[in-house]
Amino acid sequence: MRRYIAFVVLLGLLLGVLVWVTSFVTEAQGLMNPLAWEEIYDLTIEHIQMVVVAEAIAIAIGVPLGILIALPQFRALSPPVLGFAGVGQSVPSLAVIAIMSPIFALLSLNSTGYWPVVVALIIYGLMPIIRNAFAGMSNVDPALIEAGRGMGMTQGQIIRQVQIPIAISVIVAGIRTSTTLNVGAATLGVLNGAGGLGEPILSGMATSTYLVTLQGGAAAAALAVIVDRLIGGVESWLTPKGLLVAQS
Amino acid sequence: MKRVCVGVVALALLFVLGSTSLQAQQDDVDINVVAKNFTEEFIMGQLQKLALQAAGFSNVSVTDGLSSTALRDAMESGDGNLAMDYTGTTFGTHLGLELKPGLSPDFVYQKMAQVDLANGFVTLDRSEGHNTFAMAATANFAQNPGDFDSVNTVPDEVELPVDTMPELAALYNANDGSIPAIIDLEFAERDDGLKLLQRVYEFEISDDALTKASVGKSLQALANNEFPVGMVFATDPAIAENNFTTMADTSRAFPPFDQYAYASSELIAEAPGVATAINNMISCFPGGIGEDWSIELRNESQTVWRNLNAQVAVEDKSPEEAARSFLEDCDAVDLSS
Repeated sequence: MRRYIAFVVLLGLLLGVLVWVTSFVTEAQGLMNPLAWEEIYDLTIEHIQMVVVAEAIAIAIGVPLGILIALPQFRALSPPVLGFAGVGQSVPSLAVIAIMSPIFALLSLNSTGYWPVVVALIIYGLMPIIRNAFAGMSNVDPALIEAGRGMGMTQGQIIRQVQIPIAISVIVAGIRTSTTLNVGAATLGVLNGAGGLGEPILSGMATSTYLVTLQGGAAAAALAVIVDRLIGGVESWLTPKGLLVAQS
Repeated sequence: MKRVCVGVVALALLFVLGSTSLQAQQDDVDINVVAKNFTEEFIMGQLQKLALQAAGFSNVSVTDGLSSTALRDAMESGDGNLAMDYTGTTFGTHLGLELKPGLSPDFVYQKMAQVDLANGFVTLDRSEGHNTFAMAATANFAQNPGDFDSVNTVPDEVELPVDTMPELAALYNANDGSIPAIIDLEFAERDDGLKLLQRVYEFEISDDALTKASVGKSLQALANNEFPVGMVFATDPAIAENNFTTMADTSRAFPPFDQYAYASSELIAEAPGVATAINNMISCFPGGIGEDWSIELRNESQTVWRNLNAQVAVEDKSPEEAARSFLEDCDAVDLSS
């Protein structure tokens, strides 16, 4: 129960700020007016679209890849793969987005808007997913794998019925980290013309209208908190009961 | 022998003193030029320094990289005593006078000069370079708007190439506002940005057609022909480099932002030659005090500024090299002296 208190307090605070600025500040502030609810709604949808598409692809690539390099026969691949993903993560998110646009232009693709940002978010979000999938799979007690083998399980069966169920909470924790990070990183997508909640944040800053920045910031932060909690819920729901008992 | 030596030294001293007597007075004057943090201002700092040196002032320092407010603060505190700024910036931002559509460049200049005199500043000459927001179109779009999918109708009042705001507005109005445009976030939100243009020229860019991005991104997208229409800064060298057509603001929706110089009254009292030197330099740019506004004059002046900025931004010269090569071509300033 205690872990929900922090969540509720934080979310309440953020939504409180959002409601205060959006519904109760009526006078023009500096060079801009505070955004209306429907504008915030549209921007939030744009924001969610970027993150959901990027995360879906990052999960589709990252989880199988992380599991694969944890297998004994592909273990040799793990340093380069983790290293590559690590580079994507250690470069600042702004730089990953900024680099994507000239790369798209070089490939004669549309370098403005949605896709360059989504690709940047995929690269940025891969690392925690791959690393956790790899760590989750590698840290399964060898005695359990041995026991499976002793029962006559194939490698596929061991992966599906022993390793993944044990590693699943770690794998989902990686997805949770990645998604929460990307909710933040996606605020920079607006620099490339992709819209989203970064739009009020940056245009408020550009026009010294800080209440508008606060609106965008509060909405993006609330979104991150909600996403974090939702995936946290999935995480505990997927964790095998036996492991929960063992943990507690 | 000793006497001969003393005599020679004395003669030499006399000679040196004699030849520099004019400059000795100029050397007493400390001039600190302050400038802002972008290419055009870097160049303006060097233009002032070179013009002053040509006039015999040798104690000239340039401090650039300041924000707009930091520059004004420096001038007010006396840390700087000479600067170049933009008429609209001083008029609206620093003096708090009301900028509204339709103001003529000379009205803004005269009014501002008069008010700033009471603040202890002498306002020097201006150009007509008007560096502010402008809408621009790619060369393709300006020449053949009808070739674009988003354009179904080219109204009769549009005379190709599309190069004025009323023509651009007519195109938007005839096509449901659906011609894609990319603009900077600040321009999108400021009440005196796109919203002002839309009010003055009575058109609307539909939400779906409008993309907001950073300044750099919007220029790049325009340069890559990903968007036919976008926002630029009027004296940005990228305009010449990429062959963009800027839309003339015929109704003067945007107040004038002309480059001009101002100095502290003490400096001008101490060394009136500063005013002459700086005014001579500014006369190298088209436009000036008392001149009537016309689109042609503004275009001419903006082109001069754009080409000058391009020497730094495109040809990679230092601001000083650019300023020097510009002044070498201008008769009003004699760098050889």
